[in-house]
Amino acid sequence: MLRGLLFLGWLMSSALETITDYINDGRTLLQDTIAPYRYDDPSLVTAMNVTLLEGRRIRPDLFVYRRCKPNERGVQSFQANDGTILEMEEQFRLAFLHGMVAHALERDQEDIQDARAATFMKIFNGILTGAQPMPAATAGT
Amino acid sequence: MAIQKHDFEQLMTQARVKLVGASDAGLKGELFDVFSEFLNDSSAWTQDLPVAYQPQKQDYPLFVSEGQIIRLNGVFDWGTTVPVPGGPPPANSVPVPALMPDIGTLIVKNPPQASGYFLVTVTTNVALPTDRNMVPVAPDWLLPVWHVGLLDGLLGKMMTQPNKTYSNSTQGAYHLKRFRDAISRARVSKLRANTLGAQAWRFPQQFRTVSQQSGVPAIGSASERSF
Repeated sequence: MLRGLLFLGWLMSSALETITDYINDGRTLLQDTIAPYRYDDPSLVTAMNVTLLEGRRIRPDLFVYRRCKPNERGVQSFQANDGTILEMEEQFRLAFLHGMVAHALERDQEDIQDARAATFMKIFNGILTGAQPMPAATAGT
Repeated sequence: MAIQKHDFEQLMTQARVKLVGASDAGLKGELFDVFSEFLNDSSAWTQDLPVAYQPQKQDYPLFVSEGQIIRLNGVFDWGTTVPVPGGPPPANSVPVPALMPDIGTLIVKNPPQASGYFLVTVTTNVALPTDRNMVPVAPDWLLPVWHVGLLDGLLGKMMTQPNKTYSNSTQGAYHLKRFRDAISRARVSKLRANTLGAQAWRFPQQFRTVSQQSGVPAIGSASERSF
């Protein structure tokens, strides 16, 4: 229903449309597709909420014209993996997928995970701003 | 009549192609400023407002259905003839000295002695809110006639934003220069009533002379000046 209300009213792609789509594809990138999950749904929902806040900081134009539901204010946030539509223009959805995965990986304390988190965060920033983020701290430093 | 969807989509498509990573919402937000600057500096959008006047009343409110009034261009007294916006004025219509010290309120210099109609011409600009699709409310001829210059304005303003994938200060300055040039051409076109080759100015008729002497007093006449 919300798709019809978005922006010009023209139909948008259904790829990466809901929070569930992001979490499912995120699990593929996290190599965590088999239950019980290492990164559970609440942690990925939190990762997406935080990523949206960071996206609001660096690209406010993606958020300022959002049609809010009644009693809803500010950046969209999610309470659970419930299939709610994540309102985002098509060309930026990949960025938020990578941002969510980057945030999820950041909690791990392993060399490979640190590098992967940095890579995903770099993609997130690159799609949104084209700028290079600060380099991530490496293990042992 | 408002901007046509196909004209708007054409402009947006061109902008999306040239501004990698720009959001539609960001483009529309900036486009409002582009329209505002273009129409304010060119005075290209004017509207004729019929206003009924009463005896001894000097101030009259002005309303437009689209946009916002920014300047008063002129007032003509049509007498008892109901004005037709854009139509030919009656033979006995006369200009009326008037000011608009507060935008939206017409003040005529001399209170009318009878009832009748003024035709008030005002310059207008885009105003908030936009329509439900965030498209500014502007005349339908704006994009078909001036889309090249307006696109330059949009590209220039977007490219001069910092820290974006489409940021490019050099290209931005180039496009903004072309935008200002388009504004100048729009202003001149409006002054010349969109004609080609017509003169934009003629000698003020109240100072013209009709005698063969061209206003120069004859030697020995009472009007001759001496030093």
